[in-house]
Amino acid sequence: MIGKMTLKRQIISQILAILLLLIVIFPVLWIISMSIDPRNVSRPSTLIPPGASFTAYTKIFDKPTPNPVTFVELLRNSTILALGVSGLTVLIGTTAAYAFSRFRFPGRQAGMLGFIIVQMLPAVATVAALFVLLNLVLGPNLRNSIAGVGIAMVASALPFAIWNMKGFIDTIPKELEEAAKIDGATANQTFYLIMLPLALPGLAVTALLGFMSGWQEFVLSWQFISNPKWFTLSMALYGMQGQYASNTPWSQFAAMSIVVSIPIVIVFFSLQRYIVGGLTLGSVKG
Amino acid sequence: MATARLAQRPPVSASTLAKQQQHRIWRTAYLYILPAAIVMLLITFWPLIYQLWMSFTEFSNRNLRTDNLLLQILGSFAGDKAAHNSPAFIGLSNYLSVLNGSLSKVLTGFDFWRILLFNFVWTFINLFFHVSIGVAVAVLLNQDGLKLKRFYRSLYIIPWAMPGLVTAMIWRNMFDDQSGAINQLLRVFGLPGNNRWLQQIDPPIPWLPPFVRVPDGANPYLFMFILILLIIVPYFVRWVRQHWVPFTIAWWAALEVLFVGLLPLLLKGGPQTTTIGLGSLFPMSFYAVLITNVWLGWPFMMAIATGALQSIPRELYEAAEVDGSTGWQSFWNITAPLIRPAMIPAIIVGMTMTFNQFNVFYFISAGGPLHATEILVTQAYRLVNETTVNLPGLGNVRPYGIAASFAYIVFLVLATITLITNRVTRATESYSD
Repeated sequence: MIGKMTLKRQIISQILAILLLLIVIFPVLWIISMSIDPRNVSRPSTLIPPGASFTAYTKIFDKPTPNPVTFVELLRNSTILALGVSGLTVLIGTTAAYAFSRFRFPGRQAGMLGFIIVQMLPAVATVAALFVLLNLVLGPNLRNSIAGVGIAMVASALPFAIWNMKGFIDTIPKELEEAAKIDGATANQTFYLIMLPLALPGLAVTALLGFMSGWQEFVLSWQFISNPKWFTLSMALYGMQGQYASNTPWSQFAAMSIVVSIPIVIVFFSLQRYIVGGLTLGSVKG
Repeated sequence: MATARLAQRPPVSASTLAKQQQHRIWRTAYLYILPAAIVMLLITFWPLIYQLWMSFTEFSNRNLRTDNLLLQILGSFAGDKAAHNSPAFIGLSNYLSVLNGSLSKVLTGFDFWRILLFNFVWTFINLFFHVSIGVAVAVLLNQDGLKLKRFYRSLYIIPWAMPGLVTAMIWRNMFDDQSGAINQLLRVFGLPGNNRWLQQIDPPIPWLPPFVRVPDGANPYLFMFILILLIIVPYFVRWVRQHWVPFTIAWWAALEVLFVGLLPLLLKGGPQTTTIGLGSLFPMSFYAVLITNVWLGWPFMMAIATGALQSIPRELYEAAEVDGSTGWQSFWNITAPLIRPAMIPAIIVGMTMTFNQFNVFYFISAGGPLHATEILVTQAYRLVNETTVNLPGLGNVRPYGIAASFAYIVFLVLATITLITNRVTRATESYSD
């Protein structure tokens, strides 16, 4: 950055940052206002509603949906899905990225491009196709479970994960692997013992993005999972929307939204150090 | 251990050994890619094939049940429809009905070129704001010695973390004309606070350039689309980018003269003409949805840019400062080129997400006043969930086949843009290329 940080610069920057923060947070304040409003309004008119109380929060912890499933079970299912998607994406994506980065083989350029381009079919189309696939071909048991949804989420997270990891691995010097090879290591050993530890920040990024997409996902789960015991938090959230605006419990809807967002923000807070490092080294050449 | 294995091999020539080595490398590479390829093949590639087939047939909700999927697909081509409930093969008919406007009978206000143009312009305006705000904030927060950096960055992520439905709803409430927060804020500052953001039909700025003049009866949006393509295309050439100021002035002036001045003369003796500007595409709700989507989308670009900025060596800036560079010059000559490789993938991903951004249009403007803010994916969604089409021999059914052709058109548009961008920016080349 040009120049030193003077007091004047610090103050101006802080003011700008705070202004921006207000703009960013402002709608969220309304969501919170909606959640503590006891009147179940969909259009909150003041930031602190009259008679504000936290009953909406206790209600959602008690009985989040009309289905026979508890909040804890929803939480458990969401966590399994998010962690599963995250872990699988890291595993599969990193091995593929390593190959794209280090090896030269026919179809490498086409493969990279192909991974990215197949992503571009809009979700409107993919859901129906996946329903057919999981239902008719792989059996309804797979469809009606988190595993089916999880695999579909992994597929949508993979392209960016591979692209990002590949850029990251590109910046790790080849000399380390060559030294390992001279010492007699196989390709697999090089990958596990040398590559992975050095790529930890990139792995953290990919893990976070996978976690986010698994946690927030509801479209596919809504179509596929019919056993209430396996519903996820996101599904319960979207399921709260009643048929008409008048019978949607808006306070609970808002409260649930806040509760569902908190884990992601926490995970981002704690991984931020890795993310800043990870996205960095992941993307810039040379 | 390795040497012992080598000693047991039969003697071969050096070139064969090299080739064996190379094949071993290929085999390892393919093995490493195999799990990803399998997952992608099943989940992502399969819908492409399935939808392609569907788009060439009269697939409807009646064809949803079948006992054997493969035979159902083959059955369409063999002409045997009854055995496995196969839909009839109709070639490019679905695509044609999307392109020639016959869908306007079932989808009110459907005009393919208008929607495509709208979708296009929407995407690029959004990307412009996302990237400029994201990069600007990343640079702002990257200053040495700035306090509370991590705190700010983490909070700026919140729009990205909140569920899309609730943010869409809250923004819709904020744009309410009586009690909405936006109008209330405007009143506080003494600005007009009665804007009917989501209902006003007349575009607030219809005179936004560029302009085209078209004979009545022709589709003005097709002309506008061609004009915009012509504006964009030369910028892929490096010479143009280097001399962009004089080029822009000359080129845009020439195009406007052609499209507003000469074109009607070319169709001489022709019918009446009308002039429209790009702004006539944008009702007030467009601006409302734009504000919302910019709020939603810039944190992602900020996150990527922040990462990219960390790796630019400090010495470059110090050297530039010694040479008398201003902050602005440093930004354009050092920062921008060095974060480019990181931003390009993010922009491509952002383009795909913005082009297909369903939530904001469906839940905030609901397609706009009188379907003025529909995009391709919302129309596809309406087609299969809210309307039925009368197909000969089948009656009123949900036309999944036509929706599939919609999806494929979106796919082809996005894939084309990506391929062109990749070619121009060489984004998928590897470290060792």
